[in-house]
Amino acid sequence: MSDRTLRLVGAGPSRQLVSNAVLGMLILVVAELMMFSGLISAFVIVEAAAPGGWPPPNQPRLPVTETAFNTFALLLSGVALFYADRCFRKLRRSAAKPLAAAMFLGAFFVVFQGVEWWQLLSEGLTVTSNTHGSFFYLIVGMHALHAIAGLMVLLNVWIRLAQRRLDGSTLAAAQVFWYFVVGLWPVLYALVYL
Amino acid sequence: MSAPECRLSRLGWIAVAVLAVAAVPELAQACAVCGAGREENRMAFLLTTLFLSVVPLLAIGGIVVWLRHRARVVALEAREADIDTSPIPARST
Repeated sequence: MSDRTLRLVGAGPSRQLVSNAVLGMLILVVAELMMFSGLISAFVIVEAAAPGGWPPPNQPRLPVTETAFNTFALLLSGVALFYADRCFRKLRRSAAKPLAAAMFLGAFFVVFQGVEWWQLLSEGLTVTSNTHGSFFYLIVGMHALHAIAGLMVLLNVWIRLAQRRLDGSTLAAAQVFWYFVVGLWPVLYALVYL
Repeated sequence: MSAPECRLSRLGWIAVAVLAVAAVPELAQACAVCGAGREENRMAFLLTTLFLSVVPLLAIGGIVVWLRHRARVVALEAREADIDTSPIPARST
C-alpha cells in the first residue's frame, strides 16, 4: 500500500483517509479561492466608488447572453466529468468518452472567451482603457488561465486512462480542480457581466 | 575653539515626531473610506471585509468537516470489514 496518504490511525491497522493528491489539490484550491476573493473584493469596492455608475458610460457593453450560453457549456463540462467519475468506478475504460466530452466543453468555453475578448478589444475595451477594462481582463483572464490549466490536467488524466495507468486519486484531484473552475465561473459571471 | 554643535535634544525629537504624527490624520482623510462618505462605498468596504474574513474560515472549516466525515466513514467501513472477516465461533451442541 502507498505511503502517500493521510491515514486514520486507531486501534487496528491504519487506513487511507484521503490521498495526498486530493489533499494537496484542496489546499491549492483554498489558496486560489483567496486570490479570487481578493480580486472580487477589489472589484466590488471600485464598482461602488465609480462616480458615473457601473459600467462607466461610453464603454462597450459586455456580451451577457452569449456568455450565459458559454457558462452553460462550462457547467455541462462539470456534469460530464462527474459522469466520467461514475463510469470510472464501474468500468475504467468507459470513462474515456465522458472525459473527452468534459475536455471538449472546457476547450469550447476557453475558445469562446477568446473570440469574445477579440471582439471587445476591437470595440475599444482594453486593459488600459479604464478600470472597467482592467478588472474585466484581470478577473476573467485569471479564470481563463485556470481553465487552461484545468484542461491540461484533464488531458493528462485522459492520457493516463488511455495508457491504463490512471488511479482513482489522480482522477479525484483533477475533479477537485475542475469543479473549482466550473463552480467559480457563475459567481464571476454574475459579478462582472450582470 | 570649536563652534557649538546644533543638535536637537531628545525632547526636540519627540516634539518633531508628535507634529509628524499629528499631520497623518489629515492625509488619511483622503482615502476612499474616510473621505468619500458615500453609503455605497462604506457598504462595499463593510461587505468585502466580512467576505474576506469569512471565506478562509469557511474553506478551511469545510475541509476539516469533510475530513472528519471521511474519518467516520473509513472507521465504519473498517469495523464492518472486521466483522465480515472475523471467524464464526463454533457452536457447541
